[in-house]
Amino acid sequence: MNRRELMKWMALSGATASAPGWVWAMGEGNSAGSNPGERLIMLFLRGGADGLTLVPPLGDSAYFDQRPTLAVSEADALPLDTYFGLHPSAGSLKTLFDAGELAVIQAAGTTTAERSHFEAQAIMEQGIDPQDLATGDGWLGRYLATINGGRPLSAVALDVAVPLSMAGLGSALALGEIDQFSLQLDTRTRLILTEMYGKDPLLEPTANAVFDAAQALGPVQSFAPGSGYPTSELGTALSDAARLIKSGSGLKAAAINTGGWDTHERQDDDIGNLIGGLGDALLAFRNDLGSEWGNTTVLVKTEFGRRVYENASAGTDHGHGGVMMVAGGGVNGGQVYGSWPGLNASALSDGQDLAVTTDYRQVIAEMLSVRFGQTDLNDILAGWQPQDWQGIFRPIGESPVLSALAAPSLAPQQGSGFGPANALDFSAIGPLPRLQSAFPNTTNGQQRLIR
Amino acid sequence: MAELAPVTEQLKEALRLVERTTYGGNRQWADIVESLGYEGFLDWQLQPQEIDDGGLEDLLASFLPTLNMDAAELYDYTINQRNFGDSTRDLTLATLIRQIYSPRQLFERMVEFWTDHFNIPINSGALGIFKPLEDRDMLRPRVFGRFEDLLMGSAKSPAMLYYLDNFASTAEGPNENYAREMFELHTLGVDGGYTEEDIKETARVFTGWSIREPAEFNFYWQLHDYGTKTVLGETIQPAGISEGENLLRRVAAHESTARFIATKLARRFVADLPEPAVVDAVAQSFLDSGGDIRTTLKTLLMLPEVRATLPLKLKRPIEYSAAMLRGLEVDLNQTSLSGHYQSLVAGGQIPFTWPAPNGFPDQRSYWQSSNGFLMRFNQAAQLPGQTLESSTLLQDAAALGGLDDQINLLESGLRPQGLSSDERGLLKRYSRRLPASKRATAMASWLLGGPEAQWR
Repeated sequence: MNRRELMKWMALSGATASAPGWVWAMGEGNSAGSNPGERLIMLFLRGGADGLTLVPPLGDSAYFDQRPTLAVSEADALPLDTYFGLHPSAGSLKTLFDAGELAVIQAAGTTTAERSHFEAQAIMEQGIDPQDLATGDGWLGRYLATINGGRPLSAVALDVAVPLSMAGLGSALALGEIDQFSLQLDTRTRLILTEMYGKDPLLEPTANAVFDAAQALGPVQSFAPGSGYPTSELGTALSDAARLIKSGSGLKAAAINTGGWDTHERQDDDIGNLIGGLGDALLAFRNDLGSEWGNTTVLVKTEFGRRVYENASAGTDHGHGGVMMVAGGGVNGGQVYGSWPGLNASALSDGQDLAVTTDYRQVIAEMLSVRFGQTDLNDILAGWQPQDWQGIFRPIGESPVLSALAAPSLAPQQGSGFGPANALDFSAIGPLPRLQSAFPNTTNGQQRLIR
Repeated sequence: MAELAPVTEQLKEALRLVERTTYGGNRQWADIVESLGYEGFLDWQLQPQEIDDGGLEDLLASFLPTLNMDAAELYDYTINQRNFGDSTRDLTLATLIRQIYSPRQLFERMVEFWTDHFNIPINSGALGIFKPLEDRDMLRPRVFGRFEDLLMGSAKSPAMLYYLDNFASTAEGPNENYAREMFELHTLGVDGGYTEEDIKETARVFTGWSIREPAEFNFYWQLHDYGTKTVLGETIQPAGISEGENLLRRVAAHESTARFIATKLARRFVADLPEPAVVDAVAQSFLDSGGDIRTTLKTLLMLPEVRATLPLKLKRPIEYSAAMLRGLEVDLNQTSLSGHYQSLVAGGQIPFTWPAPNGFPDQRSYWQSSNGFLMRFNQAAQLPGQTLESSTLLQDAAALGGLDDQINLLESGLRPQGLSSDERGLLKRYSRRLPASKRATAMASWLLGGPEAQWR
């Protein structure tokens, strides 16, 4: 197959991931019953976050039996209700929960147990279950396609690439870090590239998206970042999301990834920082947004929870049921939702993992319906069996009075001595030697190279 | 300068091979493949030990101090002398420089392939020591050997034992992480026919496989589970370390492994969605040769349908940026290397930083992003101007007076398969009003930033 055939095949099969630029010009929010003012921040905890440590079931005695060294003790936990608590590092999450702006859904996830990271993430991002319903595009992309965001920055990934959940929406942009997104082309170069890409239908939409995004981001970049965020990729991403919202760029949805949750070994070394960093970034985001928090919903999900019984390396292996969280001004927070299946052996999924009592799609469906006014959910969430809403969200128009919340008290940054590789210091190696010799000579080059 | 002779179909096929098997062609590599022919070029590249590296390794060692340290030296230098991060820097720079400048191009591409396949991000201090040792002592010597040896080497590598937690897996509490990823990512593939029970049993098989200081494999029999196990339908009698070794041999020779490796090779070298007939032929070659990687790779690249396939792969950021430096024949210097490095930061492909065990993605759907193309456009726009002094191609172009001659010269280096008449017309139209001194760099930017340069 050559590229022309590939394009033809893609056109025939509807597999093309490219919406023409004019779609953006069609105006926004024209689908019936939608709520054009509402925005979604989708935060994916990559690696399988341990819901039993994030939101420990203190009222379940089996929890302490199964987690002899890793269980969060009742004395340390931050209580949420008479049964559940939060990990002691989750002070910021507790602040949001107590303000009624954060809700927890326990024992949530995919109904079919899938313990491979990559398969489980792909299932969740496609909005499907089981896997043989694979669509190849994402639930968020399908949802966004129905509302027609109308502006170049309506759907963005604050990451180097667009995640599968947004795939299928040709206009979704990957922005990386907003301040780094700067196009450095002279006019002539831009014009000739536009002409050249006009002859490559597979790449043309992306080239045009770069040009459009660079222009649209100008006002966002001149909007100063808010304060109070932890110094982390997640902090930067949420700060960028806030700038997109506050500058009036027309953002409808942003996708953010944060990793490190695959805690197979010495879990307690890392998980406090992960949970604290998550909560601090969310609370800073909330405070940064001000009144815009009233029509912003943050959906936090992870591909699976972790094994109920801890392993011998003071860590936890891949499990099934996990925890989801939603935060925002439109959330009926301060409550733990979902029914708790219990951790007794007979209640476990495959005899080892927390069972799932809330299909992750049920939460997405309730959110899209109640907060975003989306009526046709079956095309977005393939295979979903509707249940009654759990009352996690306030109806559109019923927004709470937002009161001032304390800023997160940020832990001092711990320097491990091992900087990230992208802080590589070239100066430490001094001037580089000449290396032209490693190129073979032009004339009869092969004779120099072959012994 | 006269018009270039029209490129024959035979030469076009050979030039596509260069694009597939190197980090980008240029004038010299076009000459080489023209003189050696398709199969001759491939055979040459498949025997890297026979290729003079032009002093590259000595040169790297002269300014990257940790490159040749043994485990004990590296441990002392890093931990006791507190040179944290040097080994990561040295491995990263050596990798990037080899990709651009080593004459052993297919070897470097296969190093990258296996580095992705057995991915280990350097995300902790211990891996800053283990991973460089693994790259040098385990992976590179096995790149073209038998897959079984690579798998065995990986299973016993302190880097892998540490990254996937097997070092802490004991009879009392087996850790499933390595067992799961070994089946899913290293051998059978996710639909390759193993079960959750197989994972649990395999974790027991590998209990006691751990690390001894400073960076050595050690089997701790005291920590091994000496019960009977059943994996993939076969009973494994208690025997200690040989249980795991035999299991790895069995899995390496499994038909699902052959298909999985064949699919990944075809995806890396030919197309995101390789044709079933191609995968079948390559998988068969893998099985027939006892998992010989050199044989399997040659089978793939000699298949008539592969030779005839036009460029369908979107270059990944490393491939794109390295090809630019190679096409321009840029001398190694601070400017070119920093530019390359920064473009990979922006594009999201610094070696050894992919955070999950599955390795950097190998499909267009991931890399064709607005963020990625922003990086590509900026790099193409800036690099020729920044490297004018150190680019042999641009120096040669600047020495020519006529526009047509300059275009022909740039074509020979950056589009050896030939410019389309459309592209030639655009170059002429847009460069006409530029001062003569700026033409060559501008036209190089346009050719490097344009759509044809994105595919291989």
